[in-house]
Amino acid sequence: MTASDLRTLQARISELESEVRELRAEAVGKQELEQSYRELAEHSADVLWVASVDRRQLFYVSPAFETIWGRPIEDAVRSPFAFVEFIHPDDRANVLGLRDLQDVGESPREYTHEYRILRPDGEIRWIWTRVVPVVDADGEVTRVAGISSDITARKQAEEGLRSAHDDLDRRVEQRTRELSQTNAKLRDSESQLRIITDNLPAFVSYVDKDERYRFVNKRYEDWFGRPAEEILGRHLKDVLGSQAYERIRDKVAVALSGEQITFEQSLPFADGRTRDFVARFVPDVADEGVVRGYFAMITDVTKQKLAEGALRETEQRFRLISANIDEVFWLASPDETELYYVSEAFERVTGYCCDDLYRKPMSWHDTLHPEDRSRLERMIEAEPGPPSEAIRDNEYRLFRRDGELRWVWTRSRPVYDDEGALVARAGVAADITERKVAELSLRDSEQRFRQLAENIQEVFWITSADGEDVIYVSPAYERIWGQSCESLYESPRNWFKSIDPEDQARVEAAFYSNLKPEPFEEEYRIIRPDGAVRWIRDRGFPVVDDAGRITRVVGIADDITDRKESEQALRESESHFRRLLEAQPDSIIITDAEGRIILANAQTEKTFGHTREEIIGQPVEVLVPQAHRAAHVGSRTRFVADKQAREAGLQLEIMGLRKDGAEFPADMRLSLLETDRGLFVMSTVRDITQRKEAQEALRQEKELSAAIIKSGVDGILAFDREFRYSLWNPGMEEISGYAEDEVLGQCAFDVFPFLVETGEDELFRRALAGETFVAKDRPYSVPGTGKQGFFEGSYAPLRDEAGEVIGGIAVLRDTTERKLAEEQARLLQTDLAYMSRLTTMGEIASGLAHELSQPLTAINNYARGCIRRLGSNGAVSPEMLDVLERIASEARRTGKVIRGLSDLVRRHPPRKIDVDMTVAIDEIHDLAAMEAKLHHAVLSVEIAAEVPAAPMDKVQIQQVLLNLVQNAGEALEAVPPENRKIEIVATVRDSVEIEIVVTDSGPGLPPDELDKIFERFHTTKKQGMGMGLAISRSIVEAHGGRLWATSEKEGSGASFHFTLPVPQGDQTHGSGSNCLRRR
Amino acid sequence: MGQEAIVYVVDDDVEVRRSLRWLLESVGMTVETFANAPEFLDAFDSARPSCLVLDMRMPEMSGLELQRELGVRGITIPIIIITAYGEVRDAVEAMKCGAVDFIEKPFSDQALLDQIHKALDRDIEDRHRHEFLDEVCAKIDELTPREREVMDLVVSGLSTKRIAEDLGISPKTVEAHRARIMQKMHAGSLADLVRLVVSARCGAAVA
Repeated sequence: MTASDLRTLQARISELESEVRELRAEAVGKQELEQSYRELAEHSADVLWVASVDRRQLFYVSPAFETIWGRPIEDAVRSPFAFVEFIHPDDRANVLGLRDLQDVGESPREYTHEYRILRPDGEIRWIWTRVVPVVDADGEVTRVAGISSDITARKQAEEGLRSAHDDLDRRVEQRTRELSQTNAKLRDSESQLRIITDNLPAFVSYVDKDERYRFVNKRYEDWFGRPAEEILGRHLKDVLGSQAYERIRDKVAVALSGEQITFEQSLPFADGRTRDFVARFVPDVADEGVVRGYFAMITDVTKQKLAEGALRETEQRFRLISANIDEVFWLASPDETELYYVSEAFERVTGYCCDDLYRKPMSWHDTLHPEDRSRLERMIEAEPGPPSEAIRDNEYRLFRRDGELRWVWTRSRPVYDDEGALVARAGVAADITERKVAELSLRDSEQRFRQLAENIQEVFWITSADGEDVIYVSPAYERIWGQSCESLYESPRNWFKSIDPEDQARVEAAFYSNLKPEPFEEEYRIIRPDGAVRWIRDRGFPVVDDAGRITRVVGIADDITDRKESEQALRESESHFRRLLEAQPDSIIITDAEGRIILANAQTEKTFGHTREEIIGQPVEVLVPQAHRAAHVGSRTRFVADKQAREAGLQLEIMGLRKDGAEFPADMRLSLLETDRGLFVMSTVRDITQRKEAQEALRQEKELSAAIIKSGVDGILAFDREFRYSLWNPGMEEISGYAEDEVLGQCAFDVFPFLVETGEDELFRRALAGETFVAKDRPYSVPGTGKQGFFEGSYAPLRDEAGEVIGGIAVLRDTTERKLAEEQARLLQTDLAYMSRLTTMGEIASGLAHELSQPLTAINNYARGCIRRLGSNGAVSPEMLDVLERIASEARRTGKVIRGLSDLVRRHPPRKIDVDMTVAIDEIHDLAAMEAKLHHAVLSVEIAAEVPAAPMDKVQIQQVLLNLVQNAGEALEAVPPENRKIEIVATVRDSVEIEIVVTDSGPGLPPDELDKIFERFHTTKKQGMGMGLAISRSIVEAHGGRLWATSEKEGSGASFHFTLPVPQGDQTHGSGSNCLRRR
Repeated sequence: MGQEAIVYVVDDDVEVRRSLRWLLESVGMTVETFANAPEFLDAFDSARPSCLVLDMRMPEMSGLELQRELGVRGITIPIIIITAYGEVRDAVEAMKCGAVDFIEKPFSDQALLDQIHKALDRDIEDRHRHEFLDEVCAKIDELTPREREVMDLVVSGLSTKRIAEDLGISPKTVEAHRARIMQKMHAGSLADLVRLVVSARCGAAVA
């Protein structure tokens, strides 16, 4: 190296040094700028605005406009596009043309742009604006809102930085190229170079083509927190960390390919935090164009970025404010000594200017009500140390500028940056005066209510909706209930317990079960602790919320004991009177002096057929027939007018009119009542219809009894105490043959001696002794005619009006015929029973003989067969043959014995005489009917007129008939009683035989049973031998007739038919009466 | 003849049936027994001489009903009624309807056997008479209508001359007819002829 070379180099270095000094000064200036820039950002004196979607019309511009634009706000909102005039001519087209949302027709979205404005003082300022569409609830864009910041300072700083960078680059490039040519020289002066680079406000490094550090300045050491020795020679990746290396790798590649590159990047710093950098990589190109490495110039822009971030944050808050502009929003330093922003609502709420507040943030304290102010100050004093990070709520009274006192509610909260550092305090304040006033007035009214409640006589109470919680009860409770209010608050049921048990159910239903939002009322008794009973009237009024739910029940209870007691007394006296009135057997009607009915008793309703409601208030003449009304009015008026008549009262017989139009005779008495309310007439009316009718009935009864006595259906007689006949009616004449005049006045025992002979005189004596009785089947005989018979008599004493027995009366009936008939029936029954026994025995014997004859025949046949076979060939001993012969003969002898026995009890051949079938049936009719009745069946008999007499043993045939009726009755047991019928029909068939059919309505017979039932010992019944039908058949057959059964179909009943032949030629009818006399 | 006589027994009591068979077979009779009337009617052989021992009271068809049924069918078998006690009235009825006799149970075997023999004899006799009548009727059938005419008049006792006058033919012709009639009828004499014709008429009336 030559000396001149060295000189040149030294000169260059000194040049470089001076340049570096300049640059340093510049950098310091830039740092200051940066500082102011931050302050600017922190002050956030940005312009907020709201405009129409096309931005032609500004609706709102914040006051900062005046500061930034240097013009009054009015200029901005004066006319559409007024603001355009303030835009730098070079930027107008850009702002208007390209960014007009509506012209572009795109869906609105957020955008930002930067432009310059011209201030009236000729200053040009850079404005950064973010425009945001304001979307309403329907998604429609109605407005745009914007924030515009003065970024002039930033622009200038950026510009300065950029030119500083470029300058530095250029110089460094130049110098390094020179340096590379003079490596040796450079090495000598390396320490100097380091001084330079170390002092650069940037991170400077040289990285070779293998991406290994070759040079780092002092700041670089600070960045990574390690000495240069630990960095140099190491790979980028090792130093930066693989994560950071990956971010810049492609940038490194660009630089190593020979291109210069500038970029922004956030990278982790030594203290672990990420920092933002602006980096410029400049390739180190050798003469031959070979890239040996690159220079890196990296500037830390973290603070700048932070300022931008804060801007964005503020802006978001402002957007909130624009939406909720009614409340005051503010942003201040964490200790609140510095106000960053307060929304315009502050001016509206306080009447003070925002600017004043910006200037003196604490000045608002002066507006507070003295009480609240001292409270606030005490609070601040009580909270020393670092600014509070808590959310704070407060309410203050403050005096507006115009002197009006307003209530303000505030809430503030801390604001943190991304790194969690407390950067601000944001708050909101609202005017709550109206709410406060309402609250206060509520409190006032509550106060008034309480005064009212606690001074009234009645108990005022409030409970929960279910009544189980007492919210309030007024002190009157203690006076009326005799219990403390506290006891009620503690046990709300105490109230209920105090109620008389008789009333509890009713009250429970009304007060606890009533969840309908309607008022309710109950009267009940309570028993106080001192035992006194009080009547309470209690009314409840459910309180309902907007949703219709009951939230509370308020009520008022008052002591109505006095009223109740007087009511009770009144009611009792009225009830006495009313009962008296109601109990009257007469109709009592009270009318006023004009004749209008004002009261009527129960009997009146019965007598006249009207209800009381119908006649009260009506003229009393509604109860009088039309024809009598005029007269009635007259007599009534006279009665009221005539003092003498009034005093004496009045009694009349009148006609009454019933509601149904019927008229009736009545007795009426009038009397006068003089009361303080005037004159009243009391009418007592008695229906005398019955009395009149009774008189009539008595008369008719007399006539009737006379007619009865004379009619002579029964014999009626009367006698006096001396047994002399005093009455003898035609019936008696018929029975006795004695006429009335023959016996009247005669002693009974003289006229009819038999009375004494047979002891009938006793009947007379019993009647005279007062006994009423019936005597049956008494014999009589009539002197003279000699007529004898039986009678039945009802005897009774005859009494005079005093009840003394003055004689006797008897009603007699001749029962001779009935008695005879009864006797005959009894005899018949005896005959039938005897016959029945006899025939049954004969039938049994005959049946037995028949059944035994079969085996006996067989025995005999077998034995005789043996004898014939054995005897003919002589192979058997004579003794054997003899024994066989004895077997045969014993069998024959047995047969004879049996036949003899059955002959003994054998039914005699019927003793037939001509009998009228009608008579035969008539005789047993009663027995048959009785038999039918036993089975709850109805018997009907039908005998054809031409049925002739026929020869028969009547008793036997009657037995057959009764048998059949009995069978029919038994068959009917299977059907319901209402369907039980037995029918006997007698007809003549071809005039050769009489056919008698007994039909029942029973279940009938199956075809295979129709014959079997006639077999002996065949029975379907539990009792009986099954002989009845067999015997009947025997009897009928012995008469030359037939007996058989038919049954049309099952369920339609069975018929039993028997026939009796009628002898031809002689058709004379037999005489039944002869038969009857037979014994 | 040559056909063996047979005794039919109808009784619903099985022991009575068996003992009767035992008894009757002990005297060499041929016996067939039936529990009821329809069975008997099915098995009855009209070609053989026979008699019927019949119980009166039986289920389905009683003795009397069977008797009636036989009458309807033209069967003339002799019937002996055996009755248990108490059916005497029915037995009387049966006799009226042509039964040979009735015997009450239990009965003497000899009496029954006698009755059976009597009945069988009667049946054989009846059969002989019927055969004779059948022969006579067959002979009469062989006569010409004129010969029958002539025969009827001869049997009614008219003279040849009178017959000739009545028929408007000559007495000689009548004589010729008469001779041919006698020959055809195998009659030896006028009395013989009259007997044949009368018995034939009676038989026809009976049948």
